[in-house]
Amino acid sequence: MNFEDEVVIRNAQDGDVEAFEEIVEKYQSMIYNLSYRMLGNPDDAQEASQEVFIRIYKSINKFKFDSKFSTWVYRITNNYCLDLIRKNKNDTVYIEKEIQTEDGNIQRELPDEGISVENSVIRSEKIELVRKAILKLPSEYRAVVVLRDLEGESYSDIANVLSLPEGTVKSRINRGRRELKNILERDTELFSEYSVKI
Amino acid sequence: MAIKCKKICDQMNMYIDGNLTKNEQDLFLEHIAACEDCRDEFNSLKFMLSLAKEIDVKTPPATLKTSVMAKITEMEHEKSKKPQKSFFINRPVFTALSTAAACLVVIVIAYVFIGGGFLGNQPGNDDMAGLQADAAVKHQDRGEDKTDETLPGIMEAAPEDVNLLELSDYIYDIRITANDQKTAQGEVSALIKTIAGDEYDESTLTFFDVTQTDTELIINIGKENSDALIDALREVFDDITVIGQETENGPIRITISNP
Repeated sequence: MNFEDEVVIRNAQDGDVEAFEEIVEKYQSMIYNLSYRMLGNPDDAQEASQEVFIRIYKSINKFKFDSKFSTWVYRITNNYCLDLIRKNKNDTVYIEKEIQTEDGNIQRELPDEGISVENSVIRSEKIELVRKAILKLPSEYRAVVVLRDLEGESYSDIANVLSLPEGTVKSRINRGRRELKNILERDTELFSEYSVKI
Repeated sequence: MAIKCKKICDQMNMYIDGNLTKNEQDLFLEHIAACEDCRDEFNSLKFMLSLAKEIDVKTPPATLKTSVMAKITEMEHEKSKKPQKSFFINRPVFTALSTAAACLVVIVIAYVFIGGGFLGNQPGNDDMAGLQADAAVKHQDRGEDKTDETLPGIMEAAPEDVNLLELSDYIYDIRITANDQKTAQGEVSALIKTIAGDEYDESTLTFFDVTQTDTELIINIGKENSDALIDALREVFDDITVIGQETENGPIRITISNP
C-alpha cells in the first residue's frame, strides 16, 4: 500500500467523510464487479455494493493495516455475496430452463436458441456462456474461480480473502475449474466446435 | 486414463498458474506434446479460462457512489443531530439500581469483548408502559475514570439515536426488567434491531431466554428464526458462532465471540 492510500484510509478512520468518498471512488469498480460476478445481475450487484460500502464505513476502524486494504475489501464483499447466495439458495441463478422429456430425462435448453447453433457463436457469446456457467458453480467454487480467473488474485491473497489455507484454495481452484468445464460441456456446445479444430 | 495422464491432468492448473518447477514444466509439456487426449483437455481448459479472463469489467452505475455517500451523509447527520442527548457518550459511566420487586422476567443482555464491545439501547420507543422503569446499566471505559450515577430507567434516559459503532471502546451491561415476558421480549427485540439496523425484521424473532456470560452474548431463539438473527447480527459483529442446537425446532444459542 502506498503512503497516499494509507493516509486516505487513516483519515477515513478518523471520520473524514471526504476521505471515505475517495475510497468509494477508488474501490467501487472492484466491489461492483466482484458483486456482479458473484451474483450475476446488475441490480443485485448495485444493491450489494452499496451495502458493502456501508459495512466498510461502519467498520473501517477494524482495518489494522495487517493486510492489503483491497484484500480486506474483497473479504467483506465476498462474505456479503456468499451470505446473499446462501440466503437465496432456493432461487439459485439458473440461466437455463430444465425441461422433462417424455422418457423422464431432464433436458436443458438455452433461452437463446441461437447460441447452440454450431459455428454461429461469436466470441462474446462464448464469454457470456462462461459467465453464466460460473453462476451455476456452488458458491465456494464460484468464489475461488471468480477471484482467481476473473479478478486475477494470487493464491495467497485468495486464501486471505476467504480465510482458508492456501492448500484448500488450490484444491478448490482445481475442482472449481473442473466443475466449470463440466457445466460448459454438459450444458453448452462451447467446446464442440473448438475440439474439432484442435 | 493412464496413470501418467491422470498426473498430467492434476498438474494442468498448476502449470497454468505458474506453480510448477522448471523440471515439472518440461515433463508436463513433453507429455502434452505427445498425448492427444491430454492436449485436448489442456487446450480446452486454457480456452475456457481465456474466455473467463475476457468477461467484461462493468462500469459501476453513477448512482452507486452518490447513493453510498448520501446514505453516509444521512448517517452522519443523524449522529450529529442530537449529540447532547447521547446517553452513553455524555454519561460515560453510570449504574442504575434495579428496584422492582414484582418482576416476573429479567432479561439480561451482555456483550463484552476485549479491546472493544458494545451493546446499545433502544432508540426512542414511547410505549414503555410494560417496563417497570428498572434498568441497570453498567458502563466501563476500560477501567478508567469510573463514576456512578443513578438513573430512573434506561428507556427514559435513552437517546433517540446512538451510533453503536462509536461505542465500541466501552463495555456495557444492560438489564431490563419488565413485568411481563412479552413486553420484555419486545424490548430486547428492539435492542437487537438497534444492533442490526432497520433491515432487521423483528417479527421473525422469537426469544426463549437471554442470558449473560463474561464474553458472550447468548440468545436462545427458535431455530426457524436463527438465520434471520445471525444475519442481522453479522451486520455488526465480525465473528458469530452458533452453538448448542438443541432440537430441530427448539432453541439454539448464538454466541458472539471475541474478535
